[in-house]
Amino acid sequence: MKIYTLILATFITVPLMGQFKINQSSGKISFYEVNAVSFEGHSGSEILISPEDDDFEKPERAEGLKLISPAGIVDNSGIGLSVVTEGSETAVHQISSRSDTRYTVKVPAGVSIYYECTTHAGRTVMVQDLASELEISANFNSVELERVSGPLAISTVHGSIEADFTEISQDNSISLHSVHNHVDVSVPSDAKASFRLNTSWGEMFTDLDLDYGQRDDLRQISSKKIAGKFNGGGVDFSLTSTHDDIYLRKK
Amino acid sequence: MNDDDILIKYLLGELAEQDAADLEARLRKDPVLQNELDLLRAVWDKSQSIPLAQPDVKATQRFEQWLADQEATTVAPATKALRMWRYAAAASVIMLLGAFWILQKPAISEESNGSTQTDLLHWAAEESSTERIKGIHATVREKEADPEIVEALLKVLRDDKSANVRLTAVEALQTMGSGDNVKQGLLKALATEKTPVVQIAIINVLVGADAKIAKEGFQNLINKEEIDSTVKDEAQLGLMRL
Repeated sequence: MKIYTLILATFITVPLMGQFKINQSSGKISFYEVNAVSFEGHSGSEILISPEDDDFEKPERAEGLKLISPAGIVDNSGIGLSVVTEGSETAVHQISSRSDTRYTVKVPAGVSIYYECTTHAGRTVMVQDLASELEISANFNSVELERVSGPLAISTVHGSIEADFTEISQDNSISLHSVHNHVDVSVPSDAKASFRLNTSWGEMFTDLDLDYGQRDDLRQISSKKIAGKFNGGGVDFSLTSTHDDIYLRKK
Repeated sequence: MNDDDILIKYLLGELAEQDAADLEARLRKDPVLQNELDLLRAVWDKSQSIPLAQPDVKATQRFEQWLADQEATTVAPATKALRMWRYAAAASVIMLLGAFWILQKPAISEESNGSTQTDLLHWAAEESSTERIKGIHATVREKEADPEIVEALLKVLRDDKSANVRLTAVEALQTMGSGDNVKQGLLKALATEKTPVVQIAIINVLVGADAKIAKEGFQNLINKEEIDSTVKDEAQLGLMRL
């Protein structure tokens, strides 16, 4: 118990003005069933989580009572979240499944992010000015990304994915996948990438001059799968929309 | 015991008679399992065929000459026992050098150029999901359908904790052709996969490969209460297309 208290004291400070700080500048932070979240990269050395409203707070009738969750997690942050850090990894759970509170999460560049949300309550994930690795696995959330560089691995069943890249990181890979909605991406005109576009029922649109190579080099299973290099090729960049359209734009 | 342990014991002849009979019955019905056994047998056979390293003949001659020269110049009389110890020491050194040479030689002499099952499994150990995705792309890029790659991708599909990595494995398998090993492996994965986006991707790849054997699997999904309704809709659409 003493060790747990020490870990908490090391990594967590008392919430200030509804903001929750985690002393972490590397490793990973994972969000589970947090319905509405906005991620921002920043130059600080802490993770900052701020609620945009007080929807997470208990109703008056629950005064003196504690909000409990079937998963056994408790609000140890004061802002409707359970935040648990072990080593260089932090796990964040939302206590109230119906709360619409949007949380703004500011993340140092060295921290990678994982976000998972499976319920209908999932709202659009907003991402801006992010250079960290971001992985999203969602059922209903849409995802909007501005001024990002990757690496990214994003999938959603019902939501759309719209991304505006300021530059394309050549580290690792970029993978954007929606089953039932569109994928719309803008890349800088000097970006280097090896694109793979794939759709079963939708269409693909682009104003990029892609080099499709020799026909034999392309492993096309159907006419709705395209591989092409931009500016000589570079990072693996995969765009998939099973039932809707793909848009690939030059900025 | 998991399947890998059972197969290894079977290869070594250490499986009990009844267990071996049960395994053989399974192998007759499960081509994916048969393929795993064939791969293990190939690795075992290859390791048995590596010749023992022999020391260079000239090195042996030079050493014996040196020993003889040492004996000729020794002032104190060399007893027979001491001579034997010297020969034993020399032989030990030669054997140690030979063993060192054997250990340095790769067990399987294949080039490591990003196109082998071993390399893909190496990528699978990376901590970062996007690194593992990058590894899958690097391994399957412009490669012909390779049974070893297919097996490695199916292993990623079974075991990786990230839905996005498993999704990439499915997309990579789509490029590996429509062989029975691909279809059977995907069908097996569909029975245990829990994430809707991956389930839907598997369904669409099987439909694209015109895998009629998937019909029963699709119907099972539709009948299971706990399956996401979107997945059931996709399975229903798949049945119509097949």
